[in-house]
Amino acid sequence: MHGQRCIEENSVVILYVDFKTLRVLRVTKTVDTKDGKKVPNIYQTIYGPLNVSEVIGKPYGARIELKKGFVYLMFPSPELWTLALPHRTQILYSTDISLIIANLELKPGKIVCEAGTGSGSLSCSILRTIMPCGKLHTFDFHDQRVECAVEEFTSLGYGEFVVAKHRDVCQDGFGVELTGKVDAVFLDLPHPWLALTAATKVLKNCGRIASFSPCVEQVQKMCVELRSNGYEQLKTIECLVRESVVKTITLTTPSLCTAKNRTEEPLPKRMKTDGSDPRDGGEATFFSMPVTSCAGHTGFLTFATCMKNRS
Amino acid sequence: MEETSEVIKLNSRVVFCRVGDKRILTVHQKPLYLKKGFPKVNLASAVGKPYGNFLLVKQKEGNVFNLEPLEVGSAKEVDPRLEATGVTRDNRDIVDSSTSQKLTMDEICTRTGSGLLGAEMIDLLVENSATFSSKSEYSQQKYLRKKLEKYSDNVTLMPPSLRLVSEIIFDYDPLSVQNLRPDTLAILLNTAGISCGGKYLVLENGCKGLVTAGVLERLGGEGRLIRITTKKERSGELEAVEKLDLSKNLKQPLISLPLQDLECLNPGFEIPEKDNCFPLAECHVMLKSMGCAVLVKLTENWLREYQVLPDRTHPLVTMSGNSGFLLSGIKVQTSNAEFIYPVGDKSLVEDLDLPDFDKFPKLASATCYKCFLKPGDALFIPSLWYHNVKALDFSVAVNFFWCGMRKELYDAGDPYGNKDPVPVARAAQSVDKAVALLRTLPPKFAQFYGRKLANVLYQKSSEG
Repeated sequence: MHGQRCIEENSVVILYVDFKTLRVLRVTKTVDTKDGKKVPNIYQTIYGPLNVSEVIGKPYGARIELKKGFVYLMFPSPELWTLALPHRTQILYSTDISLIIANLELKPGKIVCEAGTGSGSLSCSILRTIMPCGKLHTFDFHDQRVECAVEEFTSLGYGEFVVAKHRDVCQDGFGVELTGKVDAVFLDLPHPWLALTAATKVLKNCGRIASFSPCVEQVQKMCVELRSNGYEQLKTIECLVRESVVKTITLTTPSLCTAKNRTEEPLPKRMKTDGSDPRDGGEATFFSMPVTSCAGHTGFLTFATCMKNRS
Repeated sequence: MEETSEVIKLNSRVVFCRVGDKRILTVHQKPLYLKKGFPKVNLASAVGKPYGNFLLVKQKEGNVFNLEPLEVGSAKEVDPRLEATGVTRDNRDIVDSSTSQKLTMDEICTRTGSGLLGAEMIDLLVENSATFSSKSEYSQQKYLRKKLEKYSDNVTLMPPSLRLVSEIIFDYDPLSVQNLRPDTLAILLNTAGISCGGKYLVLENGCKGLVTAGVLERLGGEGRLIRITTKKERSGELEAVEKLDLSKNLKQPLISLPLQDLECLNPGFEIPEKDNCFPLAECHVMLKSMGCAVLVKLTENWLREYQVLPDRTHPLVTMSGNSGFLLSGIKVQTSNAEFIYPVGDKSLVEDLDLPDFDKFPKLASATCYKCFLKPGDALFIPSLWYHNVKALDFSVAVNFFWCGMRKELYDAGDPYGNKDPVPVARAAQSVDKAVALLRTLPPKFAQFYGRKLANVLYQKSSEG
């Protein structure tokens, strides 16, 4: 994946139109119309049409000039994928994902189980971290979601490192072949405690478990069950990200002595947007403040260690 | 890829956890002195056994405790926070005095000295406490937890991981790592997209090597990590890497490079972390104005931990109020022309080996491709590519120019195609005329309409 710097036919590209508009683009020379004809693949953007076959051979990060502006062709990193992917369910975002990866102690070579797969937002980050010798076993009880996820994992280049199965782990477990072989389990289920016996079965000694729940009632029930199943080092956290906007402003000290002289000069019709009077002079400084609206809650993350000599 | 060994080895590092105590120790033959008033522990007794729960058991001779694995299924000391008797008492009869414990300090010490630890010791203290039975359920649990911190014989041994190492170092003294919180480190590693086989550059100052340790763990022994050092490395500068106990193979990607040895940097990702946002606000403005990165974000993270117990769930009463700030962005291709100060077909920068960055600050953002030619080599330079050639030794070069456009478009007196093509030269004359016309306006208006026309010129000339 690190060697791949140029866009090839059938690559997946994230089209950066502006900071709010990221689109998944599949690089094909032609597309099929409704009546089965092959026509050149032209992708419409607000800056004009993009002839997709022209991006083949371009490096990732390349800037493409269009009629009314430009777009960037970005590498589908898990972070960009999370921002652009087609939503089939609610998804996990990068802050929670980072904490899950770190608290599950993931690194190259780890064997991980995930339920459910959902839209595959977390899966891609897990895969990037455990590649090339680890493996992700991901399960979802929704057949179509699994099919879509498999197709996406393959086109993103993760195919050989992931096994995606259609299964309800609460009823049928993670599979006997994984017994005692898994380093970490992640659960994003409405009733995560129903999958706990199955998780304990597949986890290695000192293996880690993580559970994501939006509601505190689920967390309480899960913690009780974790303790009674021999899990230790329980930790429940909530993490929110706060973005800052940065501006350059001019701070001025009005000088009373010069106020009289100043009136001789006509006042400009429009003041600068930051309200300062350019005639005061003053130095430009950087100013940052948190954005006025941000996510207030995503969910609670509960982590624990599976102690095999207690369960 | 190597797997961390499943059993505890001699001379390896382990994470030693007891109630209210978590630290990283090396498994030596010699018994370890842990803290005041606590007997020595012989860690070597755990060698060859799997990680997990152990009991402290007194050796036959001397006041030294061995570690014995907890039997499967055997009950551990119940976490005092979990014991719920259902009886509700309150604190109306509790009087503050230091006489509630009947045993004297000396009597307690004799008992620990003779090997009494764990449940038995706690029971003894409870029996001799005059006030325990009248305490409220909540304060009974608090009392038990305090006593467990002192006398618990339950120990958990874990293999070191970045999670544990970063938590231990941060909990011990946040300022010793510039307040680099474990959750911020987690977000930093993910945002930078660290994965096996990648090439990364780290410049960290005073974080005890936590970032280096994190990148090394995720490289899994493949790829490259260049660590830029700004001054002479002090001992302990890479404490986190040492505590993580990485094998030689996993440390192999690491190279340290003093800052003064670097000529020019071209990082792919720029993710500095700071505990105050002003330096980063400045970097944010610079990154945005250079236009060499997209999704430039300045963020902080708000983390809250919860106590989760039946009927007693609430956020912890104290929390860290400062996560530090993260600046992130993704590098994208820029038009180099913006950075190399071109005038005509030349750049204003005279000396590319020692460029004057004060005079040409934007040059630092330009992408530079370097190569060395040997006798017999040929180099193809596409049209319109700015280039600079330096002879390292006596040399003779033979150039060949292809003219890619129709012949009549080139200046007849210029066999190399170096001069502006004929239509450009003519257009330049028209531009001169346009400039002369604009200058008849007052300066403000001339500037405004000049910019408008320049945009038209750029837009229309790049269309189809």
